[in-house]
Amino acid sequence: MFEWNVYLIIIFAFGGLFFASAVAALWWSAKNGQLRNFDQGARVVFTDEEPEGIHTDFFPGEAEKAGRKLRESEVR
Amino acid sequence: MLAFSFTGLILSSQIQFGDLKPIALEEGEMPMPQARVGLAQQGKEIYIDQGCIYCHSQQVRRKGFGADWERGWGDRQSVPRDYILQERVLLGTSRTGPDLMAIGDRQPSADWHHLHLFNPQITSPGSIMPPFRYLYRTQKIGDAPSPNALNIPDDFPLDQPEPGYEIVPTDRADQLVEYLLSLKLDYELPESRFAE
Amino acid sequence: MSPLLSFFSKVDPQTKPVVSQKVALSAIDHQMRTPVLLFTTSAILWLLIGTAFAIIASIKLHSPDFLGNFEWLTFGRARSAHLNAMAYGWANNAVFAVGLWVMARLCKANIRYGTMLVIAGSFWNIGVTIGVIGILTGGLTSVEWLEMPPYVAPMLAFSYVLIAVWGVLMFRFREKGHVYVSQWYILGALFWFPWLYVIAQTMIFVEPATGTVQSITNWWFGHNVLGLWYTPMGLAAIYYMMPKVLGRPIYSYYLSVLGFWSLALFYNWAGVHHLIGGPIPVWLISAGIVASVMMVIPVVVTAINHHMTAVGNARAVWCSPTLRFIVFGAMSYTLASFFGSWMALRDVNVVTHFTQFTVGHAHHGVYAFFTMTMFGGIYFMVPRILQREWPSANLIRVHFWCVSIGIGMMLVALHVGGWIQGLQLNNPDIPYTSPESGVVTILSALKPWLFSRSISGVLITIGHVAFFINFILMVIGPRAVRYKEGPTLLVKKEGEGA
Repeated sequence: MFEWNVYLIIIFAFGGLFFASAVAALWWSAKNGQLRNFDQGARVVFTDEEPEGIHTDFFPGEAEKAGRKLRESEVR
Repeated sequence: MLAFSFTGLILSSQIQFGDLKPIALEEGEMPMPQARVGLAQQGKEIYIDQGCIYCHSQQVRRKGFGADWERGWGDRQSVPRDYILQERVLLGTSRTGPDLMAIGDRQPSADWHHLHLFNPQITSPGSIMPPFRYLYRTQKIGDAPSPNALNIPDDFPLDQPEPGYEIVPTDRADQLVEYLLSLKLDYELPESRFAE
Repeated sequence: MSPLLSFFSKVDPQTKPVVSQKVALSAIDHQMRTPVLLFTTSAILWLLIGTAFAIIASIKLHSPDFLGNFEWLTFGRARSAHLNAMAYGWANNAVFAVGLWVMARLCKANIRYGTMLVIAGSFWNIGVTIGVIGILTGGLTSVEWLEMPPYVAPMLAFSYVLIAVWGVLMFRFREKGHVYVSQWYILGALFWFPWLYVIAQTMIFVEPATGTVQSITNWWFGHNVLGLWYTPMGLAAIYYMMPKVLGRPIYSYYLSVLGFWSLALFYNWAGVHHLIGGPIPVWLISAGIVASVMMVIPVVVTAINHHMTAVGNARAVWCSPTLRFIVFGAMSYTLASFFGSWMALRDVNVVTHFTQFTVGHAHHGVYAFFTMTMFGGIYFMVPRILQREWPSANLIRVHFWCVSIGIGMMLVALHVGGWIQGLQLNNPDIPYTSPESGVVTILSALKPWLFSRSISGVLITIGHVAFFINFILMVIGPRAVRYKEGPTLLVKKEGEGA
């Protein structure tokens, strides 16, 4: 069993490291403009291959049927 | 943040408990708790590798919080000092079966424990505890029946050995029972006296 | 240049004269194909193994003589084998597959040397196999969530680092621009897990801490591994899949970022609520209770966000296998978290502690939320990886209905049964067992609930087998399968179906 002060050293080393990295991450994201313009940020999941406005997942073989139904319900 | 919780939760308690030592209630008495040695300590390994902890806790909550005291699971609340000499602490988080913090006080009969482990239905009908028959072996009776042979009641015909044979505990069963008998809360600590 | 740096620059696509920095999603899917397939396959195999142990343990709990003479299958070992096969086998492999894939797609970085990921993944799975066999053969440690014998820990930790470093490298060489919330969650979790694991291993096995500090460490780990490893990975998948499938961004992206930081802040204090009333300082328990209640904040934030994204799209959710599972998971996350905060209150905890209620709550979080989410993630991911459609819509339906009804039944059984058990435990006049028949005892009242839990387990097993068959058919790809159709996503021209 370690004495408690050995744990203290370990914790200061690791804890400090972790805390510093968290602060660095937050600082970086603020400086980098990550915390601005959320509207645009939310759209990074969409690309040319899988663009916004398109449903991309259906039961196999049922895409056509479901897609038609979806469009109908959107029209209404 | 994780580092904070580590510091806050674990480290601070380590600092707080790190200096806890066994203590005698009065001058000249034996400092308590005492380290577990010998058979009982070997039995703890059996308790661990069989996974008893998943149904049995080893902690007594204060009188008034739950019914630990009323059920006779211990005459006093268990406190951090009770556990300081244990290399593996088995507090447990399930009470599918009763708490075992003081089972050695509550049920001091080794024969009872052996029967109970062999087939819990013998001593506790309706129990859902698994049988630990594999900790026992059947052997031919020698010149005289072994003194430690299990005395299985007649209403459990399936568990009876063949005529001329007897069922005896293996070393592991003896160790496990020794451990169970060593689980006692029969001493007081300055911070935890027997509740009235 | 240090070897590490030179390795970094080797895998950095930007050191080359690149024409377009942007890597197409389909290219990433192709690069990730082998590792993702390995992780998914091993995840599903572990899922089946874990399910088998679950059924055995569940039956044993109401019929203790079932397989009673096999030492390696005694209840304590079978349930531990179940937990570890599920946690380190199924859940971690699923996280490696889905988490790394989502990370790769969001970072749009080229992935080279993917075979190293395959090697590291193989070692991880060998480690878990040795660990589970260890549990069954007498190496069980009786430390909850860390049951595998300590000697496998170095192997697991080492292969984990080799796996996780890919997530970090992807992030390091990501396409410039906004960092999506899923990336934050995954990156955070990749760092949190090894920290939790190494500290817990050290303070419990290598240099055991004094007395009940071990228990505190144990629950600091046990609860955080859910909250800071599985939960962020699950949420990352939800935040990626939901907008993707619906084709519209998350309702409030601001709230999702807020949710991330508040999770990181509050969750990690909460674990001590597993020790309420136990032999540890009262102030620690109070801190745990406060943190558990504060958890309501990130949960409400996340719940609003999920709800507002899905609301009005019920039909689209229903038409998508991915979203059926994901939305089920998201709703369970909200509910399970509220239950968790509520259970941490002393007055409630005095009833639920030590009972099957806690077991039910664990399944609520790990199964109804996390596992369902991962099912959804796999349904979305594998067709894109393999460039093939799932062979059978009906098997997906069987999977969905069996597991959702099954887990629903299980949760009701364990929560109600556990609550009754807790009330009876607090009434000293009710014994555990009684030699006389007809007397109300704790166990006689509990057995019917445990039995119905086994029934629900059978349903879940059927669902898992359907999932497995569908997956295997898809990978083998027999001619009969409609795999030429390609994944649904590729049908994207207007008027051609979606």
